[in-house]
Order: sequence, then C-alpha cells, then structure tokens
Amino acid sequence: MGTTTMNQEKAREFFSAYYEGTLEAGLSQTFEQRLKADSQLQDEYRTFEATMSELDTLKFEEIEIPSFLSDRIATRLEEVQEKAKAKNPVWTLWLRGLAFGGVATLAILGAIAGYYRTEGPSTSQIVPTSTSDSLKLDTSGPNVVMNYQSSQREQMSISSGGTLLKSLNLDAGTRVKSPLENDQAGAALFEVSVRGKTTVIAIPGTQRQTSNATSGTLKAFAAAMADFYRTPVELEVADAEKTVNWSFEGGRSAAGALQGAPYSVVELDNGVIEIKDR
Amino acid sequence: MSERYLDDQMLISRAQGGDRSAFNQLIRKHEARAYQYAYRLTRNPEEASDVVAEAFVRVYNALHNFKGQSAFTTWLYRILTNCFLDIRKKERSRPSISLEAALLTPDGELERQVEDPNRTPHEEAERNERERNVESAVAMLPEYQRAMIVMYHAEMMSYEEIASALDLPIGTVKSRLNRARLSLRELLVKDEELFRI
Repeated sequence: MGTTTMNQEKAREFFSAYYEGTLEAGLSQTFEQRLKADSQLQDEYRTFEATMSELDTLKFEEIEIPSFLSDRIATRLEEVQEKAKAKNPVWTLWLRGLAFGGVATLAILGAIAGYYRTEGPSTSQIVPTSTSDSLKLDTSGPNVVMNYQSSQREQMSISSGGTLLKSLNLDAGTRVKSPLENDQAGAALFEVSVRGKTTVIAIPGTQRQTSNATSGTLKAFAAAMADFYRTPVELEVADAEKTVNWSFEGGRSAAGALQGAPYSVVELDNGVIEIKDR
Repeated sequence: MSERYLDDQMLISRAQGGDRSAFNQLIRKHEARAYQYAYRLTRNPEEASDVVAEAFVRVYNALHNFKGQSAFTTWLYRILTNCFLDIRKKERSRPSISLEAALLTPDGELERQVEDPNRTPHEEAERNERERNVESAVAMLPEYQRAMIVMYHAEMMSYEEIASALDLPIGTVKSRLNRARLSLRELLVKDEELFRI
C-alpha cells in the first residue's frame, strides 16, 4: 500500500498497532511514510502517544473500598433468596455470613410442605434425620429450629422421600441453623445425613391427623407420633425402614406407643420425642 | 489452607455443590477488584456498589452453568460490564462533568489557567490534575468504549482477555479500543488548549 492509498483516516486506525509495535512490517513502512509526508498527522500521532502515556496513569489510581460494600452484596443476595423461597417452598440458603468476619454462620431456611405416607411420597418433603450428637432441635420459639455444629470437615445431606434436596460441605466449626416449617396438614419428614448416619425428624403439620394405621415403618411411626402428639419426633435408628406396630389408644404416653419393639422412646425436656435403638 | 488463597476453581466446584461458605469466600476474594472496576466505570460509590451487588447476584444465579471455559475473573468482568450497561440504561442520563463546562465562567468566557513557572513545587499538583482530567475524559466516553479503556489501561487486561470478557473478536476489540483512544485524545487535547496561556 503506497502513501497515496493510506489516507489520514486509515492512518489513524493504525495508531494503536504502530504504538504497540504490532503493525506488520509492510503496513508499518507505509504508515511511517504517510507520517513523514503529513505534518498534521505527525502532530496527531504525537498527541496520541501522550494520551497513551496518560492512560497508563489510570492503573495507579487508589480506590477506597466502601465499608458498606459487603453488606450491600449480602442484602441483595438475601432478597434473591427470599424471592426464590417464596416461589418454591423447599430449601433455600441465607448468606448473612458475608458481612461479618470469622466463621460464617449458614442459615438454612426451610419451608416444608407435604408429608410422607407409607404408600409413597406425596408432595415434596424433607425429612431430616440427624445422627450426630451435635444436632439439636430447639422448640422454644414458634418454629422448630434445627441446630447443628460440625466438629470436622464433613458433608451434610438433606433429603425427603428418597430425593436429595440439599447437600452441604461443612468446614469444622460451621454452624448450621434452620427453622423447620411445615405448612401442610400432616407431618413432614426430613432425613439429615452426616458421616454415614441418618436422623429422621418428623415435624407435625398444621392439623391433628387421625390415622387408623397401627403398623408401618419406623419412619411412618415417627410421622404418626408427630401427628398425634403434636410434637417433633427425632428418629435415630440403624434401620428406619423396619416394620413396627404401634397404638395411641387409651391415652398412652409416647413411651408406651411402640409395642414390643427394641427401641427406646423418650420424651425430652424440650418436648421432642426421641426414638433410638435400645 | 488459608481461605484467601483457595483456588477459584476449587471454590466454584464447592459452591456448585451447595457449599455456601465457598460462595462467600469467592465473593470476598473478588469483591474489592470488582468494586474498583465498577467505580472506574461509574465514578460513583453508590452506583458502583449496586453494580457489584447485582453482578454477584447474577453470578449466584448462573454459577451452576459456569463450566470453567474461561477464568472466573473474565466471566465476572463480563457480568460486571453488563450490569453497568443495564443499570445505565435504566437510569435517567446523569449530568456528566464536561471539561469545558468546568472552565466556563458565568460570563461564558473560558477560564484560563496560568502555568506557574516554578515547576518543582507544583509538579505533583499538576500531575494529579492531569490524572483527574484523564479520569474525567474517560468518564465522558460512551459506556462501551469506557469499559474497554478501563479494562485495558486500568485493569491491565490483555486484548485476548477483553475479547473473552466482552465476547467479541479480538480484531473488533483492537479497533474499538483504538477509536476510544482517539476520542480521548480529542478530549484531552481540548483540555490542554484550555490550560495554555
């Protein structure tokens, strides 16, 4: 390309490439010839070089990070989480730990809908089963709250009716706190598994259920007990699918409901009924 | 292992598996740099924070689709840029500082600045003034050009990284950046003329 074919406008298109030394040899030569022959273009290129030097100062600008930034991000994420929770009443996670240093506290907001039947799963639900000693149910407030503290790096999975709803990788010392809400009429079951052991937690529904069932799996018994006594039931046994017989007739206490089976049924101080292998 | 140095890919994998602490760590690791980029685009702390917050929401919603074909930072820059452009579209046009307007007196005359012959004591002041003028000039560029100038000259991204972040061919990035630099040259030349006696 000769000087006559590279007009000013075309030459300007090559300013950056020429400045950076990436213009191919032939074009570079043509560009230089054009510059030599055009004093206005020379001036323009000189000011372009000055501009490039000044642009280099941008990277040195010190920018202060505002103290409210982390909170702004956390608030925005929470809004998204709340909207998602309202649309889909299963498990969502709440990220308040962002605004604070130290160990993040994970709050799992669970809206449990549905209940578990012996003939098969119905709509959604999560039956938490906890097996670790560090899993506690708090019944002091309007909702049952599951508290768990991991003593080591481990994985917690939460499922219902055989469907995995959430899997969490927990660092040592991570606290998990979740209200367990059941908006359905009958009991809902959650299975919470940690380090290979599973705890089933039955949360009573909004209405007392009168079921005629007197036999079924231990899970079904836990749900029936939650329905009848209107209290959470925690099931920590080796085999929650084992078939048992029960009866609530005659005003039996929870401890007396399970007939002739090798399980202890204890009503704890917080009102939770705990079923364990004897 | 110090959380600070956890590899992005490891944090992303854990976050994709539902580990919220990993997602929190990912945010903590990148929020400052994200803010600096957003601030350079907006020149406003509130708006920059909104851009960053919106960007991390989009990251959160789309993280399950992130396959690691580009670096996480490249992906984040794309999201930040899109958030900035989207937020700007929604807002009313904000008054921008014109280099010329700043130098207009009430009578409409351009205010002349007298160069102090004693350069050494004022060198720093002049340098800061020039830097501010460059920043102001960048703020006057069309938003897309501004993003590219900031990515290249402030964030020190390569042409390839910018092309990946903006999903453009590299040739397009180079030609648009050249055009942005020519525009800036015009703005800064005008500014220099106003400062001469």
